[in-house]
Amino acid sequence: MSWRDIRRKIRKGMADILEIPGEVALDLPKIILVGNVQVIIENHRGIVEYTDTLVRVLVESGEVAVHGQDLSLRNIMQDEICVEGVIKGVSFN
Amino acid sequence: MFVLRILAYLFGCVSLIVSGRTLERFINMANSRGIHLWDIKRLGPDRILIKTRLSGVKPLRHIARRTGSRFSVQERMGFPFLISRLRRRRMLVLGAVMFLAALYTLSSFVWFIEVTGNTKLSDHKIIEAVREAGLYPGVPKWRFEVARIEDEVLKKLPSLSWVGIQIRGTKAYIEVAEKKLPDVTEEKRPTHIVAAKAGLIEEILVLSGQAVVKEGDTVLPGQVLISGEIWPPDALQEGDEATVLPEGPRYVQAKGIVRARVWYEEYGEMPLVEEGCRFTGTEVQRICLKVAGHRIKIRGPREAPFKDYESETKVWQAPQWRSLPLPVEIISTTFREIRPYRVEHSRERALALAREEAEKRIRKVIPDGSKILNRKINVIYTGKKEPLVRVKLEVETMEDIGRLKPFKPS
Repeated sequence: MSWRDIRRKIRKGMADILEIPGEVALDLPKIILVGNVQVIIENHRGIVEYTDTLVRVLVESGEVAVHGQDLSLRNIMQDEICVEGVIKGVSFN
Repeated sequence: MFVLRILAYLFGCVSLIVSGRTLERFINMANSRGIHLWDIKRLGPDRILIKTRLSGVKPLRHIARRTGSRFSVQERMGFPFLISRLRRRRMLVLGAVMFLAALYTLSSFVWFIEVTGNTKLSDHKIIEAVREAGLYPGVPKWRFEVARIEDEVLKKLPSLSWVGIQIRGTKAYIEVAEKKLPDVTEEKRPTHIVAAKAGLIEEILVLSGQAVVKEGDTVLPGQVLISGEIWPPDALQEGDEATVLPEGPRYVQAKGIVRARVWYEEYGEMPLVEEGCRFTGTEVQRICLKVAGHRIKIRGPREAPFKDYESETKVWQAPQWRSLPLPVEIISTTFREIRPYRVEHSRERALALAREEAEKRIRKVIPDGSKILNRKINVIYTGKKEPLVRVKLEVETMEDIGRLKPFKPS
C-alpha cells in the first residue's frame, strides 16, 4: 500500500465522519441528470472524446461516458460540462 | 447561465467552425485558459461548430495553431456587430430616431376631447368653453394648466357646479356636474292643481290658492282641484256700494295636497299549459370582416351552431377619413341558443301565477308612495271550459292626485 492510498483512505474516513459531500472532499464528479435530455457533470478534468453519439469526460477517478443521440455540449466551463441531446446512458470506465 | 448569455450578446459573440483532428484537445485547452465556449455541435468527423465571446477569438487562434486545427467565423452576433451594421445604414437609424421623436412629440399633444356628465348643456358648448380657456385638440400639453382651465370653464359656464379634467395619453376627459337650477320660467306662471286621475277626494289641504272641490267629491282627470285664481271675498253682497271696486282676481301658484281614493283594475292570465322559448345560456360569437362587399370570417362558426336560436348583429364601421368612408366593416353576430319548453300547472299554481302577473302590471301603474287600502282578486269565468285561468285584480289606494298645470290668466 503506497503512501497515496493511505492518504486517500484517511480523507475518505474524515469525509464520512464529518459528513462532507464527496465532491468537495474527494474531488469526485457530481453528475446531474435531467430526464434524458441533459447531463451536467461537475468537477471534470476535461473532455476526452466528443462525437454526436458519445461524450467521454475525464474525472478524478477515471472517465465518465455519456451515450446518446444528437449530443451537443451546451456549456463548458472550468469545472462544469453540460451535455444535451437524447441521452441513453451514463457509465463509468 | 442566462446572465452569461446576455453578457455575451452585449459584448458580442461569434460562432466558429473549427476543423482539425484533435478537437477535444482544442476544447480542453480553450477551457483551461478560461475561454468560455458553448453550444458545441459536431458537424462532421473533424468539424465542430462552437460559440464563443468576441474577446476569445484571438487566444483561440493561438490554440488552433498549437493543436493543428483551423477555424473560420460562421456568424457574428451581438451588440457590437449590430452597431457596425447600423453604421453602414445611417438612414435606417435616422428613420428609427425620427419615428421615436415623432411618437414622443405627437404624444405630448392633446388630440381628443371627451365630455361626460352633462345632461342639459350640449357637448359643443362645453368644448367651446374649454377651447376658449385654452384646451383644444392639437394643443401641446405644456401650454395649459388643468386647474386653471377648470376654474375658467366654471366661470364661463355658470350652470356648471364642478368641472374635472383628466389628461390620459392624448385624450382629455372632461367631466362636468351641472347645477340643479329651479326652472325660472315655470316659477312665475300661475298654476292650478288639477286631478291627474279619477278618484274620490278624501282630504284636501290648501297651502296657496283656492279650493274648488271638497272632500267627498268625485273628480275626473284634468278637473281643477285647487285654483290659482283667487277672487277677492265678495264684498258686493255685504252692501255699501262705495267700496265696490272693479277688482280682478289675484293669480298665484296653487299649492296643496289633495288625497283621494283611486281604484285600479288589472287583468292577468295564465294558461294551464305554458309553452314558450327560453335561452339556454350558451352563446357563440361570430366575427366577420367586410371589405368592399366581401365577407371574410375571422372567428366563430360559418353557420349558426344551434337548431333554435336568436341572433344579434352589431356592425362596427371604420371611422370616416375626411369625406371618404372606408369600405371596411366588422360585423359581430351573437347566436344565443333557445330551447322550447312546456310546463303544466295545476289550477292553484296557475291562479297564483296569474295573480302575480296582474300584481306586476298594477305595480307599474301605481305611483310610489301611495298607500294601498284594499285589494281584491276575482277569478273570471267565461263560461266556456278553457285551459286558462283569468283573474282581475282590483286595488284601492290613497294617493296625492294633484298635478300642477300652468294656465294663462284671462
